[in-house]
Amino acid sequence: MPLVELVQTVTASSTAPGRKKGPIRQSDSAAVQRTINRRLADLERENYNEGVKIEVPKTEVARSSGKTPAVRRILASKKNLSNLFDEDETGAGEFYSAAVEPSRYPTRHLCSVCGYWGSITCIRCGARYCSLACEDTHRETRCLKVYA
Amino acid sequence: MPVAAQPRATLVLDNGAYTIKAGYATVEAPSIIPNCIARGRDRRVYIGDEFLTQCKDFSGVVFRRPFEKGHLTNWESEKAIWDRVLLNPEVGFNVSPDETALIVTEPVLHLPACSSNMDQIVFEEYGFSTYYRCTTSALVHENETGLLFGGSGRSDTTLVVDSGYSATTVIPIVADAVFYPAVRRLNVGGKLLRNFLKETISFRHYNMMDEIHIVNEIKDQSCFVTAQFAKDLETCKRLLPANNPLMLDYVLPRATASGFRQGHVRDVSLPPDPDDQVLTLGNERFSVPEILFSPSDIGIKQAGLPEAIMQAVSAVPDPDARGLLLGNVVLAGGNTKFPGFRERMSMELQALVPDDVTLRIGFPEDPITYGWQGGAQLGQQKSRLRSRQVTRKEYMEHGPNVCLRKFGKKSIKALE
Repeated sequence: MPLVELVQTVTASSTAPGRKKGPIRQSDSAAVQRTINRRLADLERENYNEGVKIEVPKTEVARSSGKTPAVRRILASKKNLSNLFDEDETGAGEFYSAAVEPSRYPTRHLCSVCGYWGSITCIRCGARYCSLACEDTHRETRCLKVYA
Repeated sequence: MPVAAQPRATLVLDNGAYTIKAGYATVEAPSIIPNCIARGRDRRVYIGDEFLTQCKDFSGVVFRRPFEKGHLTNWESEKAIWDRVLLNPEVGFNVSPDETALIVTEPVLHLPACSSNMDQIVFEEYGFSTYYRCTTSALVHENETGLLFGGSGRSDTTLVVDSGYSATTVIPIVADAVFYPAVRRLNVGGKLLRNFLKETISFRHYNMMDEIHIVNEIKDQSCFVTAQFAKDLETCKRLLPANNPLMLDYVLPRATASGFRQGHVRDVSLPPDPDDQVLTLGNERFSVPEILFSPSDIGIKQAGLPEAIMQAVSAVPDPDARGLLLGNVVLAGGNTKFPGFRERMSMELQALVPDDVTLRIGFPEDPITYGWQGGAQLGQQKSRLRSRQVTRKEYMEHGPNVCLRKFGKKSIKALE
């Protein structure tokens, strides 16, 4: 009987459905952070569909607007916030320096599937889940599929 | 140049990213008008209040807002909304700008260029008689805040927490002036909470990524702040839905024979209607507002609101002012209306405050209109307003920079 048993270097259940042979591809922390940032940017959106353009209806009042060149310039301006921040670096600096600092208390983690405590981290994408059932749901739906 | 007549009326506009609270200073309460242009599924466009009064089917509505991340950047849409609010007889204000004094709010950390755009539109496009621009927190400060603490009168030092649509800002006001170096902004607002709820519901139950307005109603009607997050999380995990008091059924809106039935919380005493589409909510109900207290739950690298308040207070150099600020904390903004918010806030903040400081938190009856109420108070005190405002004559003589200087910002070189 061999005393030294072959230790396999797989880091997850090799009976997981659909998994090819070899070690699991892991995301590095930069990729994980990019995913988090992209998701947070999505949460700041107004509409789900980015390309939605609602034309301002032309009314009686609108036709007589723009009494001075300054006002016409303001009304026609298509600048968005990033343009304005680029133009005014001091203002942008003041805006960003007023941001609340990170907490002194440790971060807690919640399961990305069901919302309970997420004690297990997905090796591939860094998301959290709480149990085998949630792991299966995560693998099938969101692992490396959204934003990857 | 004709002598400017004294303005006959004072109009107070609390111009928020979500709603405009508008009213003459003499009335009891403002009209609350959505600050957006909405387009329904039938491609019909609604401006401002038209959305609430005329739109029947809220499914699939998309919005265009003049505000972007808390800055008023798009005047093309804001002017369309202001034209309707100020001038349209349906809305009823029938403002004659050349005889009206205007009090308008802007966000705390507004870029000077954006502030100046508003100044120019107010005087050059509408032609108001006099004009005062300030932050909503300054108007909150104008209220008789002593009433919130069981007393009376006003203090010259208030810590205003404005938790609105774009973000939550903590604004220390010391000696009647906003102390800008200590203002702190937490990037969690009603918009983020709504989008997070939308994402969660779409993942766990039905795809509602397009249903912005409906999810907002679900958030308003079913979310609450828990005082015992860990315990409630266990309850939702362990108990079956039938035994779980925290779970709630929400009936989604649908078309019926007699028109549209709006979404509502299901009344459990009535038998269920088989035509209804029901959404069962569990821990989403309290983990969504929990983000205000623990933004790191979804990966935002900022502290929660109680800690943010302490960060803002610590940035005020004078120790006496710090004590006064913590003795006069006022919560404003729509997000403070979640059931359980007040208790949780008091509990967490009390734990962070030093022993020798008396913490007092004021909860106005209506956090959404409290800023406007302060504006109405100010509008009725003519002499106080007169010392702060800019008249049309001053603007014509000195240009837009006079507004920037008088209302506390650096002037813009290009406008000299």
